[in-house]
Amino acid sequence: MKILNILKKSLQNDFDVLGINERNASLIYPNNKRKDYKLADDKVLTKNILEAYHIPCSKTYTVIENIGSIQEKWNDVQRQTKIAIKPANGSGGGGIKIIKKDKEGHWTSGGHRILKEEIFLHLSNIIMGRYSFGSTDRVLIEECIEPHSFFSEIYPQGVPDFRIILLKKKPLMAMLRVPTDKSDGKANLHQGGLGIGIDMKKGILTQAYDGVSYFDTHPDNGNQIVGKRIPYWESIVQISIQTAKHFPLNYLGVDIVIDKIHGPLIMEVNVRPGLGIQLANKTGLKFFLKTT
Amino acid sequence: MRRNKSLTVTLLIIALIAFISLGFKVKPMINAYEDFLPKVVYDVSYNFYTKGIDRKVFVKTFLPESNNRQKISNVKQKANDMKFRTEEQNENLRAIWRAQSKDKFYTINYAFTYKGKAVKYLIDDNLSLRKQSDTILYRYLKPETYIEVNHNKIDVLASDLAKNKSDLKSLIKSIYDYVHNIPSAPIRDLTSALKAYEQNQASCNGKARLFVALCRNRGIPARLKGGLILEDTKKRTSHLWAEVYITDHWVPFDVLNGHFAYLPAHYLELYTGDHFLITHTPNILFDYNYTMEENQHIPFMNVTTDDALMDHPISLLKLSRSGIVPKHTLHFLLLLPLGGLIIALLKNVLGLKTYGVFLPILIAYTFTSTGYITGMFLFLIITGLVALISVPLNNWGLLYTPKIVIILTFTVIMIFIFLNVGLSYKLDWLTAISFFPIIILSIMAERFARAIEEDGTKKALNNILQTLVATSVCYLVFASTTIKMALLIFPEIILLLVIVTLLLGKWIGLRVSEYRRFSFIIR
Repeated sequence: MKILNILKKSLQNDFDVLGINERNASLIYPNNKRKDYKLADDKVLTKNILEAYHIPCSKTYTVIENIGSIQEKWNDVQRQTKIAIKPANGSGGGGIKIIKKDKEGHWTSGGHRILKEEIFLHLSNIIMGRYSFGSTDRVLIEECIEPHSFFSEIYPQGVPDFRIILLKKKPLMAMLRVPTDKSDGKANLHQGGLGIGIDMKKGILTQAYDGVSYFDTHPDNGNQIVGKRIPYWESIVQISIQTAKHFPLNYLGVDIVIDKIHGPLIMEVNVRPGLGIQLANKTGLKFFLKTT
Repeated sequence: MRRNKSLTVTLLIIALIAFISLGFKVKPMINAYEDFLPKVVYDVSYNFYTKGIDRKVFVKTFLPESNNRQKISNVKQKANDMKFRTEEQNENLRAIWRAQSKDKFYTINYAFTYKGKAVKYLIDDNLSLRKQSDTILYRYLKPETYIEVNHNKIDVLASDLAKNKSDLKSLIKSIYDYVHNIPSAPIRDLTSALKAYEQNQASCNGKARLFVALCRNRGIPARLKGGLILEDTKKRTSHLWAEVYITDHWVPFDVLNGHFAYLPAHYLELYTGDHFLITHTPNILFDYNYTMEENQHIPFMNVTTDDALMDHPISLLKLSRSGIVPKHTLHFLLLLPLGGLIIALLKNVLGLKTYGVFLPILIAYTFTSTGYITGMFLFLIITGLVALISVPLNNWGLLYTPKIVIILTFTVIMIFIFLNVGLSYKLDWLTAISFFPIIILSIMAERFARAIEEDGTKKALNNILQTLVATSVCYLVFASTTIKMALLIFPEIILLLVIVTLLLGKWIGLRVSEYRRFSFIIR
């Protein structure tokens, strides 16, 4: 009976779960124009829009467009003590380097001193396209996020973030992505991170999913997850809607972090948000399409 | 399903073109359907030139007949001012041309289309050596002028070869091996069985007679078969081989060319028994040759359909016949869209993850030249080695394009090494590596290496496995002659594939793999 039921539903495509075919054909293609993809794929373009409309995001220190201007732009950021270096068109966190100054004023990366030459090599590599499949790229140097204590209460390392999926400026689903011991600081579900479902109305964490099974607490340290209240939830949802309003993309995923000082900040915009969010919420995306 | 008007209209137009075009082909096809599927087709022609100075000449020769391994069609006989008739002579069909006047030059031309396939017999290991007592077979045991069955020397040799042989197959094998190992010599003259033995050197006719004589001596019915070995040429030599009567079948043996219980597709059978293929009035001017031309045939069709479909507007037959495009290129082009659709189905419906869309198609096509097992083995070796070299390249932080060039160069060097090793140690399968599409393969192997780094070995291997599954599915389809021929006769199928692919592009159902992924939610 159960199998027959599933078969019947398959033929009518009557599931709440959104599959990759339907996501592409029914949500991404009709709602996003191909020429606008770059506004989300290129972090520099994304930030231009965010800054133009005063949507909270981390402060841009500088953008390096070519190898000749590395020295000059580098001098500009010497006033800072902690910076994030990102390839504008990187994916999956590749090429991102966080560097900070130690007490004597030397730059360090991961607790070790790093030479100016090494930094310059990394900057050139980004520009030469090492992290963007051969095409030349730009370097984005920005303010480094200090994760809010809410995150470290769940897991102390790495930078967790929220992902909110919006269709036609309306938030549909949200999840919190948290690193685990095996995900190596990364919060992506397919890299071994945790996806945590969110009750959108209440701003409360519902359950955690690690790709295999569900948890009430963090599997590595036992910290409570389920029922935890998210600080700034109202404004997180608000800035995601604000972002959606100012991008010509009608189906998008917005990544948000909470900074210790600045509060919620937009980190990234995604035209092809993954489907794992449905597993984190134990609910198919089409359920929200029908109800909202 | 979201559907645009223009898409619907396009689908309808393509379908209309395909079906109308197919309609015009199906009728002549049905009229001329043939269930004999030949392996080779040749247009053969006998050409005789003769002149009798003071007498009216005659020329006689054997004509081919259709049987279960060869089909003769399109027969055309032409001879100026000669009477032509045919007569049945025992198991053979004979043609006789008789001149109507003396001292005149005659050209005789007898042309036909030969379609043939190979035949192979498996002989039971446990057949007894009991002598055949069937009276009908009696004449296949008797001595003949050039087949000295009971000569003392043949007798001694035959009993020697029969020593310790307790079943029919091993006895025949023993005789076959002996005669096969006699040195071959291009002797034009008629060689009798005894002479072939005494000289320990013979051409086809001597060897065939000796083989028949030895078989008959041991009480095994055997006979000579005459015919032509067809090849794309003009020639004068005919061929003689043997047949042995085993459990109600005449089983072919060609001792000269080493065919044991096997007759290749390009052997044209003309007559049975020890005869001359051509006989004519003695002391006249006479010359002859046989012309044969391989026909780029399409199975399932006889020549009339072939011609009927030739001028159809959507037809590849002309192209295929012309030989401008090599056969395998034409097949490859025809199979590409089908392979693409297969991959698209595997990816979008099953949810298989493959490295690239075209790689599995190209590799599958490569396998049709290398063979599946060899191909698979070489593919894994190349992928493994390239992945290995990619590890240091990634660690050194090489930029993408130079890295790909290095990997490509490495692959080329590796292929040269493989070819040389294959050549030195006579490992033919190793040299098959040159069939591989190395550029695509290098790029794939690099992606594989990167996947190991990014997603872990387990996931990368999993994707390779899925790529191989897709490759195998494509291979199964590509290996089928029927599918290739169907595409060649009905290129409209490609239009139908386009329709299916367009519909697939609009299909938004869950992929099979997603049922598993989302099993927590689908209940």
